[in-house]
Amino acid sequence: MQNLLPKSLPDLDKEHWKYSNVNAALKKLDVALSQPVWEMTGAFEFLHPDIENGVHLSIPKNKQFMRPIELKLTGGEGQHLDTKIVIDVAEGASLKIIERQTGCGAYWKNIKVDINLAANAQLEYYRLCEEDPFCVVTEFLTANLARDARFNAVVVNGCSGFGRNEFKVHLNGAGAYADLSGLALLRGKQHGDTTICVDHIAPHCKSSQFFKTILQESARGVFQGKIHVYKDAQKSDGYQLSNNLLLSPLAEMDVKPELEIYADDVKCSHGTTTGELDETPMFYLRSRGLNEQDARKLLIEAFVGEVLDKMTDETIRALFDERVQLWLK
Amino acid sequence: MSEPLTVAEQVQALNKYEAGFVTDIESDKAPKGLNEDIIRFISAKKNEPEWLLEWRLKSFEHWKKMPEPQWAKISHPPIDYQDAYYYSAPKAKLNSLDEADPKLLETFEKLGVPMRERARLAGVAVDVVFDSVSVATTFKEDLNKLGIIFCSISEAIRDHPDLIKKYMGSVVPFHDNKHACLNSAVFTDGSFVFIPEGVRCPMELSTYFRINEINTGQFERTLIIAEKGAYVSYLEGCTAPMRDENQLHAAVVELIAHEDAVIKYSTVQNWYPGDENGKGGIYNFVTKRGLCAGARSKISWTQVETGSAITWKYPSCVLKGDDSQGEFYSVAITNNFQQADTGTKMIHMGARTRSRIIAKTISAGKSDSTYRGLVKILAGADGARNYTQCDSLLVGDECGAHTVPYIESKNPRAKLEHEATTSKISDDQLFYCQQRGLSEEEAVALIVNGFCREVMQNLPMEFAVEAQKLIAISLEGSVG
Repeated sequence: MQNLLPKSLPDLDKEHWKYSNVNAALKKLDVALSQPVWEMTGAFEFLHPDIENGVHLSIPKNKQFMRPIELKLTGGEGQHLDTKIVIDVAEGASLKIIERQTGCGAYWKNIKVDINLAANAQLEYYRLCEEDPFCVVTEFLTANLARDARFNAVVVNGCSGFGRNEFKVHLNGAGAYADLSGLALLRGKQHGDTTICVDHIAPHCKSSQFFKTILQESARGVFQGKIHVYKDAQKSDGYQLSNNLLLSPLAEMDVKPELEIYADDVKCSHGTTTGELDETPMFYLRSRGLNEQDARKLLIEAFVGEVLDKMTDETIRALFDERVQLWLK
Repeated sequence: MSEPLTVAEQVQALNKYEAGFVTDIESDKAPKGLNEDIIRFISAKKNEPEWLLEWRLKSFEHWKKMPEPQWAKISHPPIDYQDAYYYSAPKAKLNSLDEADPKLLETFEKLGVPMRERARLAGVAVDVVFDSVSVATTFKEDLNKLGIIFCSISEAIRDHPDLIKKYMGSVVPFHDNKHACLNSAVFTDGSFVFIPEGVRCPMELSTYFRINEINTGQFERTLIIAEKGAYVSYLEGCTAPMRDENQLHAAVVELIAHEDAVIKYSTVQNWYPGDENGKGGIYNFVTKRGLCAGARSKISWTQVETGSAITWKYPSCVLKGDDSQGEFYSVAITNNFQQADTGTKMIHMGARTRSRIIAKTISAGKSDSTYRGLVKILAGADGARNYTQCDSLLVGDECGAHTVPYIESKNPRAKLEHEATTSKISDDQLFYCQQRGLSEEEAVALIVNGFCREVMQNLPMEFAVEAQKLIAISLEGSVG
């Protein structure tokens, strides 16, 4: 196993791998390198054949898509899938992508996603992970945004046994906007790590991070978010919020929201809360005649709903809603 | 009325002295370097018992193997531990204020320190920790009547070995981190406070530390024990003269609060930060930790950090007793090339423990300051509560302000909140103040003081006045 580890996996001494011991998780697996097979709906004409074991989409200038493009990767017992998605969106084009991850058995998916948005390009990126509770998933997404580009991402993790979702967003052009939100639903012995770094490199950019975690049983959740404002990135607007619901005495939540700021004319804030369901709304609902179970369900649905509300597309929202409801049951 | 005049005259007269004047005291110095012999020398000089020497040597052995902490957002050339003196005791004191550094006096002037106080601060009078040996401690008799022990740690080792054996290293073990480990091996002096059961200490206990000898790291160790129901407020304030070489300062402070006891620890740190070009200045690597051992005990840290080239300091609270409370109020100001990585750790162990963190960071010039704090809720901390607020203020566009909170929760009944903001002084505020006749610098000082008010209010009166002026001085030259 040891010799299979790619060089890209970091040394755990690194500060931002503090809470997630990926090497230990991988040691428990017995996997062999396999061929990843992506299923895809629509937009075949924009595929680039240059990437082995992955998908490369190149969207031409001003192209608008009515329907979302769906990408799906299924993992199987004993597989090690090393794969890559590259999405280049040319000026003024816009599209929606749904990335679905499923699988069965103990496997390891190592996925790299590269997104390049040219000026005025728009991308809505939705990820739905419904992995096997024994698998390991390491996913690393990089997004480069040119002037006035927009990047919206919503990630729902009904997680893997060990999951690490990393985002690195570079706001390279003035007026670029990145809106990231996510929901991690963890139970059993799952470990879910979301690590984000948004780099405000150009002035007048805006970013938002909105992440929620629900932890049951002995799950462990990690959220590390960072807003890095470069020296010349004046008038940056960065926002970050992480709300975490700890529903079991055996669960653990580790949060590290970071601000690293080198420009003085900026507006940056972050907030985080961790705890169980608030007593006051619970009391209100109970006093209106709901039993504890229903009241609880309602409150958790509302908690989750805030993230799902970020989705603009009705059909995608319906799909995600359904999957989340299934998990909550 | 006559006094201010004389002061002005005196300062003027003193101004003709060269800046960076070093008090020339024939030091009773050990040779440069760090090895077992030096540790034996320190121990012998202080007539220490065998067990303490063993403890020192054990720490030193461990220190050699320990890596330096790398996680902080600070950068400095590697420290040459062999190029410093680890022991120096003054043989003689200054005879009068005339011998003191004029720059230092100028600062006193700006701070409005009373004349007598000035002499004391400059190291003329007796009750100062002058380099490594605590020359004398004030008010001893009054305190003795109440059963309070307030003395230097060397005296405590001699007179109260049982207390020292029981408590020293119990909150900050010698192997805690490299800097604390070094301190355990070579500590030379510091304060010891013991408040017996049910006693409320009638005055604010204070010791001024001062680094004087070139190249001497100051390694003091403070130990404060409050027995059941006791109360104590301790002040620590620092000034240091001009110095060109970087000096290492690795102190350890341990607080132990038993049932219902309250310890309030306030610091105003104003060590030499280096000049406008980032040359010189003190490396301040301090380990401060308090243990709320008993139920309903409370430890409160308040700090105003304006000095030092590098500050690496995390006053922490281990909330072990049920219903115990931890507080941390901090103002950190950096200017020129200063670097500060400071914050706190709140470890919640007992049920219904509460903690509150208010941290204000102000960066100016080309400096970098970081708030780094940990809030950890262990599984047993039912109903624990934490509130954290970190605000950063940037003055100028060449500085950096960073916030790195770590929040780890293992209990669903614990409630944790964290908020942070970063902003600059708005032009509206500046314009308003300037329109009312304040200069730009005065306006900035006023606004910054307002920004820090929440923390300043927690300082004891004596300190609050000094600290407000200190903020203004620290920001000098950062605007325009």
